[in-house]
Amino acid sequence: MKGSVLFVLIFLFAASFARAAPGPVTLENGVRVVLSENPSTSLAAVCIMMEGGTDGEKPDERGTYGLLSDLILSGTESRTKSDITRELSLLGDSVETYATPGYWAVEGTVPQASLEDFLGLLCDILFFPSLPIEELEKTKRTKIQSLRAETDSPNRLLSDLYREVFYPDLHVSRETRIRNIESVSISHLRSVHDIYFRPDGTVVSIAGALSKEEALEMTERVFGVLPKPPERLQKDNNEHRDAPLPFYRSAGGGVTQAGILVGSRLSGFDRSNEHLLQLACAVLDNSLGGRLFVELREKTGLVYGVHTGYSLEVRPFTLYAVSTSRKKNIKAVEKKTVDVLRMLVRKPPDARELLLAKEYLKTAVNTNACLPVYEARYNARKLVFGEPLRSLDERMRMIDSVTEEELASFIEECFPSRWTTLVVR
Amino acid sequence: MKTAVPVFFLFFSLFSCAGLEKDRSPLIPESTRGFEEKKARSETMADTHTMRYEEFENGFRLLLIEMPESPVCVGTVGFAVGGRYEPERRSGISHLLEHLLFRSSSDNSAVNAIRRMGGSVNALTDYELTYYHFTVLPKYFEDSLSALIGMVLDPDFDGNDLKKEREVVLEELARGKNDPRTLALSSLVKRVFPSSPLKNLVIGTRQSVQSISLDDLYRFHDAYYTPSNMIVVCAGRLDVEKTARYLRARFETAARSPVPSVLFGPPILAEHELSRMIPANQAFYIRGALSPGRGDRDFYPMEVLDLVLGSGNNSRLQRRITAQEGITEEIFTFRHTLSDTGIWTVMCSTDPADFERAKRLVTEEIELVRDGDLTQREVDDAKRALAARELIRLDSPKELCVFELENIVFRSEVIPVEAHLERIGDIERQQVLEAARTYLSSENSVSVSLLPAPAAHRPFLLLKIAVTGEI
Repeated sequence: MKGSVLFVLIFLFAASFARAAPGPVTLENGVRVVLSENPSTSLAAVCIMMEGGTDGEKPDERGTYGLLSDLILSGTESRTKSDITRELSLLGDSVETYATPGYWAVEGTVPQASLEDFLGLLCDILFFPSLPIEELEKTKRTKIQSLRAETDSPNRLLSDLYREVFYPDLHVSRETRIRNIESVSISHLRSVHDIYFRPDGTVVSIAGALSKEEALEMTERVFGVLPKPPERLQKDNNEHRDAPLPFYRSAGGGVTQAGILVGSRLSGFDRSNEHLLQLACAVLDNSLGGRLFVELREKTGLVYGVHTGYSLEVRPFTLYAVSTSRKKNIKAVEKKTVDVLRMLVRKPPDARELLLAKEYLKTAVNTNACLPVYEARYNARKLVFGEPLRSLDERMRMIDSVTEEELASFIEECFPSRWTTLVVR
Repeated sequence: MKTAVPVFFLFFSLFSCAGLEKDRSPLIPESTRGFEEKKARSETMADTHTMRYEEFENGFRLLLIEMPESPVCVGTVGFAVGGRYEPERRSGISHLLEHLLFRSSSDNSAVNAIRRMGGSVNALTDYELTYYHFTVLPKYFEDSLSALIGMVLDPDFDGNDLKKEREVVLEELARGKNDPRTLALSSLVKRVFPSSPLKNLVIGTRQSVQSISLDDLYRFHDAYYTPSNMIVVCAGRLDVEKTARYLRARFETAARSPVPSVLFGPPILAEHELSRMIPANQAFYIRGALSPGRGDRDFYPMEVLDLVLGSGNNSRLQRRITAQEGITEEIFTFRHTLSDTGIWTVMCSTDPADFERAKRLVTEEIELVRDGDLTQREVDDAKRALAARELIRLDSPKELCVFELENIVFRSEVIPVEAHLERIGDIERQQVLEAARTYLSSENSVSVSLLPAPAAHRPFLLLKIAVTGEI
């Protein structure tokens, strides 16, 4: 352990964190630590990601790995469930636990003075949960209730349809998911926990106005005591079937409105180009403007809002535009959305549009940077996906350096000519 | 251009669709607010941040909060007007006006100028407050503030803009009724508040929105969008002196104009028990109560009571219904507070088979606290949790701006963050118990049960919704 402390100290002298790339440091037991100094806050945020996640589920396990996100809060060797709930509440109740196809995550923001206590609590719930059987039964009941409640939410139904069409390998019906949850045993979940919740699959990302020395010493004190596991966790490549996409799919569920998603796969996209994708999305939809917003709302009043987004969690990556509209306008919304998306390839953003998109994106990134939990999450994801960490200044420079030609070439290469429309009416 | 923060959507639905019948009150009341002689006031406060507050003789108020390390600046421009100021037949005019102020025939409009600087710009209409806000990089702050002020004070919309924006608002109105729960609540609320202006949804009704004319909008703007009714709050990496100088030059010599006076009658609960069948698969139980206003002495004790009872995983209702009984994880409270009143509501969704049990448990816990079952430790924990939450929330320049804007409008004071936390720390158990006795009484309670309609009835319900927009 002394060796890793020394390594940490050497690293600290070697790297300037203020506005430079923020880390990472690997402790002796394999825990990777990343720090992002944020002098504008009086808070500290932590995001911990455990590599693995729901992508490891076999078909008859779909829907069950996410139960661990709740069960880890049900007690540890040294804390009861009530103790954990109370401690989290006193720290401001900002903690969220969730599972994605690539990782389990726990994140939260606390007053800076409480950071070490917070790290200690998170380490305890992640690595020493008691996973009691009686809590599994309650968690199953509440999870099944939540799944059933989702059938009353049109937005949730659209999201289901999206997963079914774009990620058929990961999708099972709600009823199958409920059956899987009903049948999963505590011993099975304990074995899943043993496989994945280990130091060498863990990323601890901290953001706040604390000094680098303090933060690293604190992390070492809390997570450095975890024993080194025997061998490194093998990471899956997270690749899924590139199944053919339909032109159109619809489902029932809307009351007064229809939810409309127009999406496609991003062909040949590399995660290192995320800033180009963000710029392309900002050209389509930015603060009360952008090509989609103008066509769908300003000119025609067909929608109240439109959101352009993308998913880079699992391959193949996807891009989509989502809106809601009165049912009589579905066809018009679909047609205008597809026209605008196709036009982006034929008529790439001009200098004025690119400049606006750049300034918009820089403001958005800086606004997010005000929230320490956003920076903590951003860095943790970068580490989990094996991407280089970039400081805020570096991100600004990357955005500034994009030329019209570069963005046009990116759009031509990655944006498809064929789009899929999903409707919940 | 949001009507409301999404998380409060259900609450807003509670104050829903009014009819247009029989309302003959004028758009702009003839009486004006008591306008006592004001002396100019200037105060610098050093808290977590340095703050400069100024009031001009004409009523204009400004608050500038310096956050030198922040990577952005936030500007908000607010007016003390909203849904509560509207006659029933023009319900929604504040919100429609808010939308239209973003409209301009010119490509060089204020909103486009802010957008070209990368600004994120938007607005929100509430019952007693409408505000416009932007977030920009610090180098663009002064130009953006000037543009936003120009945008809200010098409207540039015409009949064609009104036609287009009305469609957007009607789309927004329909969107708010797409969830069976919100639809049911919006249909029931006028029975709860039949004689209060609070029954009107801020966005208005289809009929009222369609009846608002261009002339109405400009008259409404002329009456309420004046320097005397205006508050500017900014936070971030800004030059306080320079910004104060700019605002002084722009507003200090502006004429003092009387603001129309609207009397807010206290809302009265006309129903205490309601039940409906809805086209949904789950059952929903809602228990609501009128709660203290922002300026009331019970405001802070009610915040603590909210944490004790239903807000957060450590609250009694979450521990009992989610952690102990495993009935549902969808149980939460929401509060919305105005100057003289507010609403506190607890809501849960359950499997229909668990509905009666959930309802009984919610009622039991509320009654236990009301009848004095509240330990000192619970109160202390709730105070600490609330203080930590507020510290986290108010770390963001945008949240801090809105917090202070509401303090100025609703309480006529600036509350620095540390003072806010001290007020939370000073609350006594006895005050929380008194608030519980007052606000959780059976006379001040509405209980709403929404149960899934049998499959055979659903097509009729959906048809009714399509025709009437209500359940």
